[in-house]
Amino acid sequence: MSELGGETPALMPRPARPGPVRPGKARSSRSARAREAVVGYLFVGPATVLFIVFLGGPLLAALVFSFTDWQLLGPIHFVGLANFRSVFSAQVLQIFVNTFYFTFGSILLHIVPGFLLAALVVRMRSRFLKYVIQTIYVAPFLLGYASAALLWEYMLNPSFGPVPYYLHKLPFAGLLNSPAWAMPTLLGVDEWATFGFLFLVLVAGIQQIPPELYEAASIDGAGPLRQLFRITIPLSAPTLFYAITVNFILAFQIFTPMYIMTDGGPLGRTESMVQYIYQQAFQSFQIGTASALAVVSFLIIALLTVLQFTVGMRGVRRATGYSEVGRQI
Amino acid sequence: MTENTSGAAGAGGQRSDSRTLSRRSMLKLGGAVATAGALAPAIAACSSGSASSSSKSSKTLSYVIMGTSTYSPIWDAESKQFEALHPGVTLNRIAIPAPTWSAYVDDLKVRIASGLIPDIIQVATEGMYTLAATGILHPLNDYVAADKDYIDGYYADVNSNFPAWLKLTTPPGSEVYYLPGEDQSMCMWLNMKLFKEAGIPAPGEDWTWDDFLAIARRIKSKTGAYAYTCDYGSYQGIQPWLQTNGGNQMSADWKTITMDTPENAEAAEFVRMLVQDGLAVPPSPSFDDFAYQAKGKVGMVGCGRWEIIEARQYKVVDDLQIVQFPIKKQHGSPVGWDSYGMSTTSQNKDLAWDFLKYLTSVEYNKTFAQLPSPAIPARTSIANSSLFTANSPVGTTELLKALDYSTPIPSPVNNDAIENTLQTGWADIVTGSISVSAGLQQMQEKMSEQLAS
Repeated sequence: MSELGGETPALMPRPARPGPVRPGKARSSRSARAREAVVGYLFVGPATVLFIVFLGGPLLAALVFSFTDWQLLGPIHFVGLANFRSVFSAQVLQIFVNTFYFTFGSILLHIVPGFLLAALVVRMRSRFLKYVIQTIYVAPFLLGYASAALLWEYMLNPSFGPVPYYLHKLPFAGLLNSPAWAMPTLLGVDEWATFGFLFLVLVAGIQQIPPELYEAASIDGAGPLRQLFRITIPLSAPTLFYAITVNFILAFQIFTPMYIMTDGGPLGRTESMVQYIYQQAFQSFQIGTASALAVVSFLIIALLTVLQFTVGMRGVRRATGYSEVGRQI
Repeated sequence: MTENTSGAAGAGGQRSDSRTLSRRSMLKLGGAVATAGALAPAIAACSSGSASSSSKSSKTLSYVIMGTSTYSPIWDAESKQFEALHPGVTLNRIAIPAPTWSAYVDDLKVRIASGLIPDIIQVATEGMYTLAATGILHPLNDYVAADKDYIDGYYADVNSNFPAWLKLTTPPGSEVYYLPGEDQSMCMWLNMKLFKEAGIPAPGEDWTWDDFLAIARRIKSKTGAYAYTCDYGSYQGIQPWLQTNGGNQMSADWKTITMDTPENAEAAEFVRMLVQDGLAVPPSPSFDDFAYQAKGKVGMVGCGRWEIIEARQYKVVDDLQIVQFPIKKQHGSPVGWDSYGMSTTSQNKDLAWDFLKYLTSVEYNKTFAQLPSPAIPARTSIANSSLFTANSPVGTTELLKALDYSTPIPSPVNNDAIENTLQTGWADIVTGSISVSAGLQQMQEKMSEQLAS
């Protein structure tokens, strides 16, 4: 309880008063504690094993391989930091630029319209309209990313796709073949395919705001815009913070639309970091280089997430006036 | 007393006794379980010598192939026939679905590294050298020598280029790792409905790029359909254009990249012009060009025998005709073939040899030819028979003729990465994202780096 900074509620069971311990009772108490410990470990055991096998183990393996020249079916040699030098090659730096472009574009496109739409939907009076809008925006998310990418590749095909057919007189007709337009197009597809998830998260967050606050603000003469900035945004800060963090992590690991729709082209302008790591690992079989890039990507994501937590939580505390938000999260 | 005798417990029972599991010991236990789980396949592979084959008494022969459910009828028939010939033997098939042979070889490498080494491994040109060089294949020399008459008879019935092709795809030395298998050449498949609508007869065997261009313009102007699709794949979309102009992506010994040659530049200019003039559909990674040809939206598609499956599904076999690829300087086509290697760890080598022999038999070739065979049967006598040409487009035997002048698809180590660079770079040139000379230069540099790594 002390971690939460509160006092022990009066109705909470109090710890037993220490007294003289009789040998029989002590044994029974210890065996109860042992049983409790076993049960506890059994509960966390499966998750721990899964973590070790699928997360901790591979992470450690990637770290070890990043210092080697392993090519999967051959001998393995220690090469020091040689693989990490590839991080500074022109191609990899271009890929980092592409990945950050996509990541920040995705955050902007998901969070701003997602939040405004969520705020609008929550305050709608018609429940039917509310459900219809939520269903429309969430449906593409249920389709699956690979299906969505294939669908849009057809829609945007320069020869047979409906989109270029209607836009052929405009300068951006060959969207996926244009070095300038290919990435914005993929961002558009990403928006269509995954908007629903964060939209739902934001709707859930805004729904937690007590309606009495809006009623009181209305009585005091606050208009919708003032209510948005004074009530909705501050009280949704924890949800917004969560949405931005999740969006950042997922977008930085983007792979599917590039792999299916552009193969990283044109001119490598849509090649993402995870796609490049995949190519290095499973097409070139440069496991060392791929592992080094994976480690660097992991560190970037971890550092920026920690930064977001540090800066973001300060903002959340300021906005909500609740000093314990960070600890709860 | 109890606390004292247990030894680990503290005074008054205030500390954990030995029966209480500590977090550290639990983590140790978890780590041991996880390690055992992770090592189990490797231990199994080492102890049995073969990840998927069972003991000798059960007579199970495991083999890995490339394939999706589309090819199930072929493999089912093959298993049934072999098991009938060898009572008590069960074939354990592991099918890897992959979009290309290069991708299949990549998948295979990962599985082999993880300990999955079956008795027999199917491999195509793209992975033959790599696989043989890893040392996981058992040389077939003794078996070939023991069955010399049969093998000589087999070689007499396959394309005469096979000995040279196999030499190219095997590490230097006298070891034999593969026997010839089904092959694949490239030709141009025509939608004759569109040709008739445009009033064009099917071109002759020696038609040129200029003839192709004239036909393309006529199809576009008379029918509104696209004349051609630039397939994204290097095998069908790039190689034929390079080779019919005397070019290629690398030298004949696969040691040097040769992308920035005048021949390749001329080929790239030609295909780029087809796209820019609206005669051809530009390359796109997931575009199903044959589906559009079947629907009458495209006049000509460059491809191999594999399209027969879709042609039959769309019921357009009678609307199609197969002709040689148009030439600029010479006839040209890539050729790829599949074969089967025997693993060194196999506990059933004699049985595995029986299976390899069965795959070269007349019976198997007949079965393969009658199924929706996505490749040309290895035995020329069967490939030229009505078993193979029935329910196939006019000109199906042109695919066999193309084998005579075909060049093995370049397949060095790291082939998939090089192929990927070729495909993306070619698409950039053809769609006008970069000039021909700059694009070829970039590909030359990047592919050379990949070849050297």
